[in-house]
Amino acid sequence: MMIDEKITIFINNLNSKNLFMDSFFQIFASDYLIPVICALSIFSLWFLVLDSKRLLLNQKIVFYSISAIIITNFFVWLINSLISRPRPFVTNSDEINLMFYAPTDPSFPANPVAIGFAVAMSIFPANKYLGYFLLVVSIIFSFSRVYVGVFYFVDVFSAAILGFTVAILVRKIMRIKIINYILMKQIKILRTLALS
Amino acid sequence: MNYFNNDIRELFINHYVIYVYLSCFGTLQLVSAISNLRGIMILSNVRANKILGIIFLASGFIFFFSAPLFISAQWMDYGNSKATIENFASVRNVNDIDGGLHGTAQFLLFLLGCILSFFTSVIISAILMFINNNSKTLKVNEQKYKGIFLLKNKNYYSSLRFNFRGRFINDD
Repeated sequence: MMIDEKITIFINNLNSKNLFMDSFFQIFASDYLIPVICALSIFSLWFLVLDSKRLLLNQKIVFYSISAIIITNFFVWLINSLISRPRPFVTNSDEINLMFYAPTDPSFPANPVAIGFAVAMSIFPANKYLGYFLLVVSIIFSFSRVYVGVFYFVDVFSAAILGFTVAILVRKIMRIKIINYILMKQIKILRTLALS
Repeated sequence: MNYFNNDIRELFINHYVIYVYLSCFGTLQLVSAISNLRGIMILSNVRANKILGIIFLASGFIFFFSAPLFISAQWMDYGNSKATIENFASVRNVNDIDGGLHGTAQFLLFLLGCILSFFTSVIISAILMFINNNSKTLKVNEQKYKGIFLLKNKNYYSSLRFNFRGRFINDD
């Protein structure tokens, strides 16, 4: 048995011992909590108007975050089509106690975790507090996904690295003159609508 | 396989829209209070508006995750019933092929929630400004403001009109 499987089984075997912990991690692992928190963070950044310089940075970061989500999804899809790793509850069905629905897509890398980290890393330059908050929330999300038995430890770890890398990559891409020009044009249109 | 698909999907859509609407509205009120954007604040007191924002934000999450405790539906694959304390956290974990929402649907519904919450804020704020006769007349030193900064003093409709007239002093 690989070390990855051992860590996964160890974390997963912590479940079914405490109702509060189970409920907490089941809610955290939900498809409807962390994605909404990430989206709300992006939404809040748009209206965080303290001064004109920070407003422009915040609104650029909103575009960076949305781009990071799209590019992360693309990379996950690409990796999924190259490496089709079965879910832990399939491979280690005897040791893993599934506390979630049984997803049918490949396990590696963990798509929602990658998006969580990509958004957290994208938001960091605009608002450190929000960035740290999203980072902590994404770490709990990653842990909870292993806890409920839908991902291996390596799946969430590699997804975190992917999310970080994509966020940095997007920031570099967005600095290209033509892309920055298009971005500024969009912001200017929204300024007429009193939205930027 | 999908015997409880439609019922649960319909519930999910309804609950998810309410959830994102309340959360977006709360976030907008909280952030507008922090940024002092009076054009979208629904209370004139900044502190009260922040508290209102936090209440709405929290209520969205509480509503979505606790609704199965109070609403009878086919949460589990056996008959109509309310969820229990033991299983309420798990009943929201439904695969998109079995009645949950897939990513695109979530994105579109979230967008709908954002737009609805923004317009709710704008309309309520405008009505309250009108009732309180609080609509600001443009001061000379305010003419440098443009775009979203106009919402610090004017309602959204006035800001929109002002922006479209292009009466900015430095349009960079």
